[in-house]
Amino acid sequence: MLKYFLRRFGQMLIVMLVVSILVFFLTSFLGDPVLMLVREDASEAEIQAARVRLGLDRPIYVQYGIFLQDLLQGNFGVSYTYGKPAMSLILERFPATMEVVIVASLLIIFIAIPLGVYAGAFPNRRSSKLIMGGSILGISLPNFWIGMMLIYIFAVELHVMPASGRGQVGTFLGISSSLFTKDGWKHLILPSVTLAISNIASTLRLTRSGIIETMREDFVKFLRAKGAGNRRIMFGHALKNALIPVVTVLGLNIGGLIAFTTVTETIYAWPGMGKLLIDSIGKADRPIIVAYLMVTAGMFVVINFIVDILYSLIDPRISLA
Amino acid sequence: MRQKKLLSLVLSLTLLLGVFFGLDMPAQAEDDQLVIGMASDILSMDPYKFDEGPTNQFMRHIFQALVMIDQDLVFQPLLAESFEQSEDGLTWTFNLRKGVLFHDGSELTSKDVKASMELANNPDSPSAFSIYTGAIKEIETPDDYTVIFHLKAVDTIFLFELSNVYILKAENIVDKTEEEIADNPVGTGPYVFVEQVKEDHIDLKYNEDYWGEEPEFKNVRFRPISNPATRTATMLSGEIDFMMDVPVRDAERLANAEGIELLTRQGLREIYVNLDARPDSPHFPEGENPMANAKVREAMFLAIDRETIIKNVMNGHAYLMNSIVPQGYVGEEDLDMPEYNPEKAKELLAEAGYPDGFEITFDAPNDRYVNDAEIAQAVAAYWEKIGIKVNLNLMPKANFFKHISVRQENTMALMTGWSDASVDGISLLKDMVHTYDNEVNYGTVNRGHYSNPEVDKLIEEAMAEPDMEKRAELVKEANKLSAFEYPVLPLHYEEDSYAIKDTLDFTPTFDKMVYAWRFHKK
Repeated sequence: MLKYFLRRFGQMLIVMLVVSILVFFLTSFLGDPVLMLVREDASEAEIQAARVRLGLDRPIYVQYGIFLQDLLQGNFGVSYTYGKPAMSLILERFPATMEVVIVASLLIIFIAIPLGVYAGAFPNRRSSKLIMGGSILGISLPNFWIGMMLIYIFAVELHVMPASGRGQVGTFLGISSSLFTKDGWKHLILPSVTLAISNIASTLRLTRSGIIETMREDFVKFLRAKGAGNRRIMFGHALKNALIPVVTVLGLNIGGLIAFTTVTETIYAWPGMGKLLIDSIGKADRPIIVAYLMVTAGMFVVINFIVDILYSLIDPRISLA
Repeated sequence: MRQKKLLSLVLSLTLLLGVFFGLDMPAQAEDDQLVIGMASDILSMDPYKFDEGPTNQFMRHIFQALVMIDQDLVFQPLLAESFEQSEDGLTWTFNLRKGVLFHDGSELTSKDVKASMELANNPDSPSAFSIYTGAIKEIETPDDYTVIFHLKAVDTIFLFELSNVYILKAENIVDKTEEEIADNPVGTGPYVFVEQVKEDHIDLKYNEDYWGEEPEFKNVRFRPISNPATRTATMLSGEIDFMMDVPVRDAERLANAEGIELLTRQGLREIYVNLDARPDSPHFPEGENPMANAKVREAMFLAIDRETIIKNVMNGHAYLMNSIVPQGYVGEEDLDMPEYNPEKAKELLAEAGYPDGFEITFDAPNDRYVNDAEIAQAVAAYWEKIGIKVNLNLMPKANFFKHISVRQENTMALMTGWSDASVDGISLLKDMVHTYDNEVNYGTVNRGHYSNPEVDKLIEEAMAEPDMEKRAELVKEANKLSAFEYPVLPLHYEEDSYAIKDTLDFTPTFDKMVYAWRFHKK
């Protein structure tokens, strides 16, 4: 177990290093951050001074060396625009993103899996066909369109939901989050639904096909012969077997939600990390982009690790070694 | 299994409890709160770090400068009660208003002014405001309420520069770090800082000890909503009272919405074309540069149907531009620029010796100005009609401004924008048409490298002229002389547009600054 853990940790470091190299060199094509900072009519001397202040006057491989050196001390660099450590800027935005992702994930798990099991168990019912038809819509409609539509329907026309922004933040057990206020929940619902919809659709389809496949297996027939009830067969036995691919995909998808809520956050003016990333790309703010993508890469390795552990819990035949 | 159930029960209970605990938050006072939707968030709480619209607009609610420009483009005393300029224009004396209190209750004195100017001018800090204090040689404070500025040379836009520099409390800034300054927003303005949640909102409340007129709205919230469609939706749903930067495509929808009015006025940003005017241009290594001939530049101007661009590309949301000096500025004059005339353009090209045209590359941004790519395409098409072969080169702004920099020699024709809030025409002429000179920082956006010694001389004379009326004459002369040599092909001024609830009253100003104290209930 320990060996396995260490190996995964090593893999994570390698992935993050590769990502840092790629991102570091590729962002230099985004444009010149110095010219984005100074006035358009700045003099040569002003521009040069800003360049030196940001350490951009040196060749790029030297800059990368300095970056690695700082990294070993836990310092991801200082944002060009905000003049603050990139990592603290990202962490500052983390809770807002996590709120939407948590609610979206709960929606995915509690809507997609039951519906998927139902549609898989009774594939010929009209209601199952309706579910499947709906899921095609969910997959094919683009995120930003769904978001705008929800805003227009629920905020502009019906006036029941706010159009944008994060609501009031409450504090509970020392954690500040909009999950703890009524106003916060009101603001959370639309972005979470927007974020969840396409994932609900894909998870549902995956669960359904898993269930259909399992229901054909011999052990199900055997269970039926023994007189086990429908509900017991589906949720007690078939679901467990069908769940392995679902958990894999779900893990990666939730990781994707955390890392790239960019579109949803932009539409809802939600002050999370995704919006920070897109703003930073616009300003060629390399320290933030690099730190962000390194953290994201690390997070995906961790999620995969958690998924592996979940495998062994769901199916005892799979071992971690 | 049982443990799992227990865990999920505890978790959901916690969440539910949290919701109810949170409910006893104080309800917001809605009636005297004004919510303003902005297109982008402020960049820093450090007042001098960025010189940029949204940040400045916010800061001016908390901090104040010695003078302030009014709606008629005249400088009015603010923290100064009166000011005067010496005969030679080198000394400015300001008498401070007495009894002005900072938010912490201490009184404003001349030492706060001096310390603030020195901080803004500090070359070791990342201050963007040193451009506004660069003219100052020495600051003298003979008593608590008098500040005397000695300048290095005549500075025609000194009042404008001072109107940008907020006065902070000396005690809070001397020997403090950037972070300490940013964390301590104590000013003299009508509003006090309450809280900021980055990219979500910033709250201000009325300063009970404010020395000036009491504003109608005691609580103000700024909400940055960068996605234009969302900003429109948030305005339509009634969550914000006022919206900045209405996108052209939503203007009609907002104007027709019940309870909402659209406010528009000519903006300061001018959209124009620059052509390489050098006879020895590096872009034409083999032959001569056709655009070095003023006749060719004139032809290229006549070829563009600017009215049609405004009507069809800008949906009417732009204003014809005839002079680079905006209305109301020192030296402003409506120049009689010729109308669209492609036949005459062809004749001029033939006269100049290019009856079959020539080939150029035309650079333009595609994410910086309203419909910039479409405007550039239209201009390119008009030039093609008179026989000029145009290779259109569209770029995102992050690359564009580096590419067209006057120092780089990359561009032979480009479309871009410029805005200057100094209210003095000389400032625009100096930047846009004076020969590029790295030493004195003249011609910094003269990207076509136009150079006319006569124009240069007039500009330099005007720069040294402290008397506003005499300066206005020099500016007019320089503007007229250069305009008809077409270093700049003027297209249009962009429109500033806002949406407002129809229960409120607000008049937009030339510099696009939206101040909460200028709002009134109808």
